[in-house]
Amino acid sequence: MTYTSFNFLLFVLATVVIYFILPWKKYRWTVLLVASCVFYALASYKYAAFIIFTSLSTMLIALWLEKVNKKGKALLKEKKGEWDREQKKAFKDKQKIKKRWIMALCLILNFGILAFLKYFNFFAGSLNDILGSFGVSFSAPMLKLFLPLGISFYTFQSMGYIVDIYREKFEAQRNPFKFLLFVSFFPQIIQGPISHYDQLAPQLFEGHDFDFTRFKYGCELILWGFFKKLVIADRAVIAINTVIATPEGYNGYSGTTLTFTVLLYALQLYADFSGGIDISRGVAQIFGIDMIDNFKRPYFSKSINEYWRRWHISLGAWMKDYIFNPLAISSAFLNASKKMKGSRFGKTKAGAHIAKVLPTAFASLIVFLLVGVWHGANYKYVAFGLWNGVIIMLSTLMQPLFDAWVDKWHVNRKNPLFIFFQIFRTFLVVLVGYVFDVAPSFKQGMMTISRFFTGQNFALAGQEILGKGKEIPGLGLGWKDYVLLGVCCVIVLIVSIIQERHADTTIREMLDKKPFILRFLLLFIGVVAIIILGIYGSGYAAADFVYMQF
Amino acid sequence: MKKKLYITRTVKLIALTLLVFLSAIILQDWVLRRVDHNTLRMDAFYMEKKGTLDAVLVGASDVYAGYSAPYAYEKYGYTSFPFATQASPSNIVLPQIKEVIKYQNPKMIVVEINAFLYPDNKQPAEVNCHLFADNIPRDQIWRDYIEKEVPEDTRIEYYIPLLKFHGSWNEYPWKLKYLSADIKLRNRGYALLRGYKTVSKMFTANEKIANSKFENDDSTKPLGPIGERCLRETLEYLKENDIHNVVFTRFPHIVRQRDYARFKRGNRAGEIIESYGYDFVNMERYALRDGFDLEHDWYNWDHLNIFGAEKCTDYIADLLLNKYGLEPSEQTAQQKENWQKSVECYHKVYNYSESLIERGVFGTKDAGLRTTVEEDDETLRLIDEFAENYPDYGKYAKK
Repeated sequence: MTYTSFNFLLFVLATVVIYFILPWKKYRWTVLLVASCVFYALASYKYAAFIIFTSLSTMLIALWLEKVNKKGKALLKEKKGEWDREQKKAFKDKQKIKKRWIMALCLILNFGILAFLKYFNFFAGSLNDILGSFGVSFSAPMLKLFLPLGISFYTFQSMGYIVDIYREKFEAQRNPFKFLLFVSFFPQIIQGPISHYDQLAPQLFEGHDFDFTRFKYGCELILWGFFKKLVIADRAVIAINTVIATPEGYNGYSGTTLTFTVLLYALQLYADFSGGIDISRGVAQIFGIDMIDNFKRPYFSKSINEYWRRWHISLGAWMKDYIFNPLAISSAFLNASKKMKGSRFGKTKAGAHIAKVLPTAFASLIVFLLVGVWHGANYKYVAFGLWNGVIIMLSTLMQPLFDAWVDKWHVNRKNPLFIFFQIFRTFLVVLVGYVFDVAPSFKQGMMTISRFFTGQNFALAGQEILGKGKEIPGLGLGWKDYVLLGVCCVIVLIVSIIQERHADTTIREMLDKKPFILRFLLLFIGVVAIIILGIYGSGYAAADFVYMQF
Repeated sequence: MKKKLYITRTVKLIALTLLVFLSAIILQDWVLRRVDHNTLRMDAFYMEKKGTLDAVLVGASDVYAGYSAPYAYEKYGYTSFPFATQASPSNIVLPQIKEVIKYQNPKMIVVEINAFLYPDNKQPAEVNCHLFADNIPRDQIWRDYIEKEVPEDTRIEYYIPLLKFHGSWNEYPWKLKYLSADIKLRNRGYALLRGYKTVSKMFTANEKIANSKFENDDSTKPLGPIGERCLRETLEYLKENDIHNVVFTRFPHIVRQRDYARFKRGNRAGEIIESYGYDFVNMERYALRDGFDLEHDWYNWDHLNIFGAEKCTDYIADLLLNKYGLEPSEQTAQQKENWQKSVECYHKVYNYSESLIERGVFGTKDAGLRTTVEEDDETLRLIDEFAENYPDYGKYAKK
């Protein structure tokens, strides 16, 4: 049951009805829990044990952490007059180490499962390649592994929770069912967003009353999500899949077609992921739950740094909170920075800047390497992560140089042309990253980049894209589909510009102020457009959400 | 106040839902309806008044390309119709026969056996089931067919064809000629070509042909399990319901060496049919003996061209009239007039097609010439233009 199926809509409708007619507001969360369990069981009942294990282990270890915390504090209070400063510090350090070990246990257990299922074969294959190149006959076994639905998302969400408990941000949840709901909430289980416990959980457990405005906004968001997913993403993916279907075929395309494919991928990925998130947020909104927005017009970003603050925001926030910040302020990184500051190089202007930003630059590199690996067990994802990390690292390190250039050339930073240049430049950098994402392998990603420069052939690309007789089959889409995709791009662009200009409100709220007939007509056209133009039904190969596989 | 607000909101919601629902119906039944020559033929069949057809032929494309009802009417005086859809699978033969009996109950039913000869791994695509099921009345026969033959996960697409064919917006403006032809067909009340369709081409085989050795070839090969099940179910149904006015046939094809197995399956089907006490007339086996010309009478391996179709129609007519004693029914003046219009239309088609074959335009970029001849708007315009410009041309030239 995917989010775009008719069954899912019926499922949501049934859950909404039961949720709001349940007379005991206090227990309405149980409806969400049951619905989430049913949804998970229907989608992936064989692997339900994994999500239950993660929920249970995280909850119990969080309680253990909390107990250690409380016990420690109580002991400190008890020994207030007895212990001197040194003794207190020694105890606190001991406590900290103990807590770290407990947290590490939870992280190792759960990330261990994720790493094993997702990366075992990747590492085994790499090991075999390396040993093979040295003539060693040892061969690590390749296992038939599966990925339980949403494992990356619920593992990250749960591990965020355990770190927050370690940091004593809030009290641990004592009710295993409530915690299971936080981990498995059905609108977000497939592809996030990865929520923080203190943001999501209170909303989940609070019994909400039916609110027509919320219901309406939720439905409108779902409709917009359906449009992006079914009309744009699932149409574009037909052409993309044709190009990447076989490595031999991929190699055979002209550079222009590969460039077109990467551009199409940029459209598809955004429409797919943001469309899915819109559906998730829309469903949650009907229940009175506000999930964080995962996208803020990422292709309008003026720098790659900004792009990652606008794209997959919840993953970025997670990485920032739990990886980047601890790394950037870690003693190792700070010491390296200090050391550089004290050196001769550190006394120069450039050296002082580099010494200052070095911890953040390296932390960024590591974070993006992890982001790449999170996307999948393949060198192409490592390259994807490294590309983004290196660009961010370099831009951080070289920022003063860029600023100097801009000043030297008297560029007005608010000039629309300059802003457009920045957006275009960032988009190009993003596209290069996508090359590794879309290419079947790292090697082919590199080949694609070389083709950008050497293989441009517009006449041939025209035939490759649209097809020519029986000899060149095309990419599976007719010219009308490409025109439609173009029109959809314009619609999404217009909506994005409006959103960008009115960041303090939503399109839905703005629409609400328009005459009823206009709203009615727009909704009607939206529904009919999805019915006619959507890619669904057995005549089409329905595409899973891209981020479902991560 | 609050109550009024609730009522307003409910009314708005219901209005939107109703409007979407209504639009979906209009889209499904008209705008996005899958319409092509199959649809036109099926629609035309149900427009024939019950009991006005003397014979109905059931089958696939071999039937509507190889049999001309207007020609049979003109030459032999009986009325007939090819109730056939493209690449029809074996599981629609029985429902086809049931539909024919329910809506026409003709004196004779001719069943072409092509559908039973597909091996299981080469069954026609599922979309070919839709060609039949989406174009017949939603009666008990339709329901039985869906329940019995359609996999559960795709059944919904038969109940709501929009789910499957919503993407046919892409076929515009190409399909306008069919939609327009369908509207005209409904206004007229009958099909001018009575289901006939052809391609103006004379086929030259470029592979080794096996037909010459068929006459004495009794060899058989088992039918695919699906084909055999459907054939036996059809025969059992006919027998159980005491339906005897049915003859099974195999239309002639050019058989490549690699299609030889299909010929042998045809022989096996004949054995099964005869074991139930029904006649099987294998035209394929005796095609050369009966005057079919491999270099003249087909437009591709499986389909007779306009010349072959007349020969095949002659053969079927002879069978029906002389072997089964079919006596043409009396027609009302209006029916006669309509059939006469069909004959005139067929003459135009024949002359047009003959000229294209003689000029060898198939596959060339000769502007404005359409080699596929069916009852769509574009073809009817072309044949009318041709008849006007070349009144003296062809076998059926106006003398």
